[in-house]
Amino acid sequence: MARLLVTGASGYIGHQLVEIARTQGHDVISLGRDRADVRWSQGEPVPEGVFAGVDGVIHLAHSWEADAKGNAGLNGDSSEALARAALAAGVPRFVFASTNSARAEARNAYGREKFATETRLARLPGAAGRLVSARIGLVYGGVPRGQYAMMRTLTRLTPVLPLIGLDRQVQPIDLEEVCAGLLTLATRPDLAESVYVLAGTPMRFGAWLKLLRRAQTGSGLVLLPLPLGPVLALSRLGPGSIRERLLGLAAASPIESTASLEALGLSLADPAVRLDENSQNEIRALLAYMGAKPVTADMEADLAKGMASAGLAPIGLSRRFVRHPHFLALVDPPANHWAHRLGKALHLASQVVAAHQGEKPRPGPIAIAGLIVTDLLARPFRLLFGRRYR
Amino acid sequence: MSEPDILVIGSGPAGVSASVPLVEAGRRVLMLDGACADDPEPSGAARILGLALEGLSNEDGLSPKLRAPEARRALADFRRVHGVEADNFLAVGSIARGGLSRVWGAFVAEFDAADLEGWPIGPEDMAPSYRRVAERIGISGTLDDATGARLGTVSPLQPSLPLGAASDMLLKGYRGDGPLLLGRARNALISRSREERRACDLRGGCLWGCPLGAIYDARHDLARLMRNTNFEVAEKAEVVGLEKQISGWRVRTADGRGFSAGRVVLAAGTLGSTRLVAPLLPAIPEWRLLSNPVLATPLLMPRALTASPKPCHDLAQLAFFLSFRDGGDGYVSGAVYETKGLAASSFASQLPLGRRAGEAVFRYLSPALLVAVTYFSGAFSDNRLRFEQTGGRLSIRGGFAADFENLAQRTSRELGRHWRRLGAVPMPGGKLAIPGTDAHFAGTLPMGGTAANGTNVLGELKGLPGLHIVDGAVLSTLPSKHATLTIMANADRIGTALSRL
Repeated sequence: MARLLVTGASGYIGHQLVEIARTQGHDVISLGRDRADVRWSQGEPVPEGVFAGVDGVIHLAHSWEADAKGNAGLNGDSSEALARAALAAGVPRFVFASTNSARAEARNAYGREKFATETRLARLPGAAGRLVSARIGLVYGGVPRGQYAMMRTLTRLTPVLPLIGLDRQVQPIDLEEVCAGLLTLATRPDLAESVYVLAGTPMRFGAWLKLLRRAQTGSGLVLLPLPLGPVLALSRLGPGSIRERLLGLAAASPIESTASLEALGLSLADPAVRLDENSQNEIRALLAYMGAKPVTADMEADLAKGMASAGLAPIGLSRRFVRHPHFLALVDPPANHWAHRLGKALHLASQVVAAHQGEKPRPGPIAIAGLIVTDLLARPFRLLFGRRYR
Repeated sequence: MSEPDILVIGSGPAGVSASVPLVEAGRRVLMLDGACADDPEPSGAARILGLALEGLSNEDGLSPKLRAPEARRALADFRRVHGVEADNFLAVGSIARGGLSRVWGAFVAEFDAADLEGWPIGPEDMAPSYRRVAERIGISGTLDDATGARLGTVSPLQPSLPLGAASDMLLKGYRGDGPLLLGRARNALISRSREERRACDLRGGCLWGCPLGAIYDARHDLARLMRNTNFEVAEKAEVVGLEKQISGWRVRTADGRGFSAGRVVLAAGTLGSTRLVAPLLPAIPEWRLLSNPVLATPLLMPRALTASPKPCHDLAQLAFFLSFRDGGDGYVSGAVYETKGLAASSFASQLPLGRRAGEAVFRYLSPALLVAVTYFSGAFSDNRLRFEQTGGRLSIRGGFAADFENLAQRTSRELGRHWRRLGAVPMPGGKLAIPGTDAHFAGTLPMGGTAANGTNVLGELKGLPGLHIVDGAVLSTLPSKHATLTIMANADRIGTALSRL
């Protein structure tokens, strides 16, 4: 097992990556803004001594604030400093997280900047064969955060969505698949290319949004294409990050990923099936946790419908909970926290179980005392870990 | 049917109660029902979750009764059709066939002379109607305890049903020596089978509707009425307007149909009827809407934790009365419920424990857990209703009379002392419910009222003869006791009078 250093560990990808790497037995040092072994973010001096014994670095950190404030150099400089230090310390492998929109002439600053950084890193002394860029597509799945959370909310809230760039091609890839690819890149120095693509089969952005809505609500989505020019002109009024995101969309054009995925031994799931599978597995876990014995297809169907109409599907439960539903006791929020997403889902699950198999038998006083004590002991964990599913 | 003698608007308890004497007297009655013949009754899990999963929900603020799918469906349609806006008020109503009787708690009581203070009619006017209605709907209860006489002496009664274990203990501890009166509840729930309805067999699950038909529902009467050739129902006739004609009345429905008759009996429920009548009256800036402020207190009977459970229904087990001053509004009445029929999930949502633990705690406690629901006189409600002439919408701002909350607290404390003496421990979590939770709405068109919205003893407004309002809207006051039986009896009284004209 390898010793890995992950930056951006508190972010959408980083959080999941650290969790998966650790379950696979890797020794992980996480760098991030919060809840990380070492507090570090882009632009800060490279922390001392962190590279000792490290087999691979996965550099995910990116400062959106710097982009928005026009301080485009910060991300590039910081990444270069980190890579230079890692290479100098003898780290055999450095994986730089880039984007499938990385191009010299990309319309969005993010794409241009990632491309420029890729080039700068490749020229560092000792980079050959050790420094690799991962161009990542549109990531979905897991606990919704960032852009993925925004797209989910947008498609859940309204059946009609006016938007630009609906014809552009996006390349969705599941969060766990991205993590698997990054881990392979970080632990296999024999992968000799300087760029690998972690992106799915191209599909129209509009079709992707429809898929997201169907997975969450079970209903369709009407898309109204907006012309790019006027929208961009309007976006000048708002913060720079909006314009940047719009340009990112408008600039999306697919890149070939088959060879990379094959080299990494990844075969990607169909996003439609994957989104559906996630919620189906989750639904089974919630029902099992609430005492369904056995979980029947009727219960699953009722809870799926209930969660879809409450806009809760999928919650994005981590695999640990899906495989071992009893661990949900560690995140089951206090039941009087009504707004909690996981809490709501468990409430629905409980009603479904009660309706299908009747209320459970009455427990004895000793069982109750035990349950209450366990519950109070678990409370700090719940408040801490349960926050992910708020 | 050729032109009917009388149009009845509404198929709820008031509508059928007014229709029965009219149909028996041979009048041709056409009932306009906003709903249509029923969907098949759901069975299995769908009974609890609803056919469209309406019961599957995260709304925890509602009373358990209003959380059942039946109630949700009724409420949703009602608010849509009547365009009711509510502020600090729960606007409960129904356009479903059978009206609110589909979701009622079935508690019945007669108003006595003190309750009828300020009414243009007295107990002697109501007695024959109480008797007829009670006979028709079937009531179980007893006269032989402390509350028997207060609940009324006129109604014929079937034997009481057995009590749950905790209620039984509470009642056995009662000596009858204090100001608190405690006795068996009186419910429109039959303990002896009759016609198509079968007696309660204590199977429970009452909140989800009774498949035996043991709990009274206006649809029972409707089925019987429909066997008469001089009674018909026009379905999906959602009434939107009433017009006075040279002789008689014309009624318009949402789908453009029109119906005419010499007389109209309006029984659309207090809110529905008020909305239909308001355009006929000179503009009234603000109407007073009566409702019963309601306070629910969980009671724990620790001794019942170890007792063996007894099967019981989920409707009210016990009735209680407590006076705090003289006069018709100087007492509270209430009902004590067992909790085994409640969903563990909604109880758990009140606890700061994880869901699994919370539900287990409820299952452990529920054989010993009672809920005392206390109703105050409508005199302590201060709900304001506005009618917007142009859009025809109602808006309601709920509230309590000045200083009521102090009174409620004092009463709650005093009741608490009595419960403790009887061996029950009042639990935290008892609180005044948001106005309107009781669904006892009344008094917008009071009989004997002298203002423009006042009605006479036949429910007619000044200058608008032939339009008879027979539902809760015409109650002159709203005492603490459950008003449904009185609304039905009053409708029967007016229907009987009309059948003799």
